Formats: sequence, C-alpha cells, structure tokens
Amino acid sequence: MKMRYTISLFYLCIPILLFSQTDYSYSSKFKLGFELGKFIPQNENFRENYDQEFLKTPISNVGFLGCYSNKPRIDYYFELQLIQNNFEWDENINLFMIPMNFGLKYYFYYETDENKIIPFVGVGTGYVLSLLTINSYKIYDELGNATEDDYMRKYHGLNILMSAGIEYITYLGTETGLKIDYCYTYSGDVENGALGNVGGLTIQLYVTWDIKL
Amino acid sequence: MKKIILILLLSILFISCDFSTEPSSSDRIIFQFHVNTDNINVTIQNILGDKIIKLEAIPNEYPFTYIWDGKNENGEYVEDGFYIAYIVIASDYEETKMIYFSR
Repeated sequence: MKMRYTISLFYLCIPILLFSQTDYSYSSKFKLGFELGKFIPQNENFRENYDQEFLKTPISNVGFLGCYSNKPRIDYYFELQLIQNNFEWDENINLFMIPMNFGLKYYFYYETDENKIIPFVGVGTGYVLSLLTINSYKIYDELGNATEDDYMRKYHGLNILMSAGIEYITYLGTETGLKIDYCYTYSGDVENGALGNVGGLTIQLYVTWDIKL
Repeated sequence: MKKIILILLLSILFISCDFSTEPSSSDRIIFQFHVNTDNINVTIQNILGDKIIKLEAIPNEYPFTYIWDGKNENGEYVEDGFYIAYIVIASDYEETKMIYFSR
C-alpha cells in the first residue's frame, strides 16, 4: 500500500515537471545519441541464474537516447534499451528486456570554459517489456514422442528510476556522459509466476549530439 | 476439455545420472526419483529462480514422487508458461530444469 502511494505521488509529479513554464531566454535544444553499459540485477537469484552479456562481451545493454531541453539546466530525455540476459544452465534460453523510459535530468551548474564536466541527477519512469525466448525446446507427449518448437513469453513491467552521473562537453555540440541508474521494475507477482522486481543498477556510457531543427 | 496430461518422469537410477535438459509440458508435472535417500528437495521457481512453492513428497510411495499441480503456496494457479524445477538430492546433487506448465 505504501509503495503504491509512493508510485502515485511520483506519477503526479511527472506532468508538473514536464509542462512547467518554458524559459524563453534560452533557446531549446534537441540531442540524439546512443548508450551502452552494464546491468546488475537487484534480485540475487536473477544475478545467479543469468549472466548479463551482449554477444559475449562485458556489455549487457545498448540503447538510443533522445533529449530535449528548454531550460538551461534541465533536460527531458527518452531512452530505449535492449538488455540481454543469458540463462546460465542452458544457452538456448534468454531473457531480453526492453525498457522504454522518460524523465528529466538536472545539471548542477552551467557549462563554461572552466566547467566542462557537469554532474547531474535525474528521475524517470517507463515501461519494460521482458521477452523469455527458448530456442528448439522439446515437449514430450504421454507416448514419449517429442515435438520441437521455439517459445516466447512476454512479461510487462513498470519502471521507476533514479540517475546520477557526469557529462563532459567533448566538442561543440557533442557530449559524453557516464551515469548510474537505479531502477525498480515491477513486473507482476512472483507467486503468480511473474517476475517480480527485474530492476537493478545500470552503469552506462553515452554520447549525444546536438540536433538543429 | 483439459489438455492431455503429459507426464514428465525424471527417473534417476543413480544419483550421478543426469536429467534430460529439454523442457516438458503438463497440467500436472510428476517428478519420480529412484534413489536410496528420501532427502530430496523439489522447489518450483519462476524463470528468475524465485521460489513459488516447495513440493512435498507423496507419503509411503517408492519411487519417491513429487507432483506439481500448477499451484503456488496460497493454493492459486500460476500462469501458463515455463518454470524452473530446482532439485537437490542429499545435498550432493542439484539440478535446475526448465518445465512447462499449462492448464
């Protein structure tokens, strides 16, 4: 009950922040970029039974990032990621997670010639689609005959996340950032066979470019 | 009409024997163990490995038999789909097996 109350308050705050008054002395900016990183699940069983590796590299997630800014120190962002989790006990079993998040980032100070590294914090929310895929599984009938097929099951989840990081102005119009996200993801009740909390920490490196419209 | 009951028999002649790793399907999943110890734990978990229910052995039956009827510890049916059967025998042998439950 307390958790639901907290989540409701969180969702009430989002539109207030998103539709707050534009600062007209500041020209709005769009940025697009990509990110990659490492996902560390909060759930211990999830960590033990799956490894988070994308194409057998230490990277577990890749994603696209879009930002809009109409105030000097605030960015609104949208990100779409793909996180791969491989079942330790059988290489044919994978759990792909596709989080789609939006939120805002608050930068602690303006960019100047002396301050090119800018720390920030952020909050966000979103939806997570988790896809369990099992390749070439066999099901046996009562006579012992096996049929082989591929299997996919979808799980739906809601995300709440908090971020902290630093952004570095690499070149004019290009920013490189490093951030840590903590994400709580409610994806159904475990006792009903769903996934529970599939969130955790994500350490991400990203690059964005200013887009002139 | 209920789907045909498909029975998975996990017959272990010796503790060192391995399980088949292919998932199996049923609206009632039966685990049988031909072992000389009753120190067997069978836990049904979601696909992340979180416990849904710990199965109890059928009393006075050999081979040792455990049945999962697709219910959680509250007696409610779980959703159709894949689950993990985590099996430990005499603390020496453990196996994680993917199973498929459908009603």
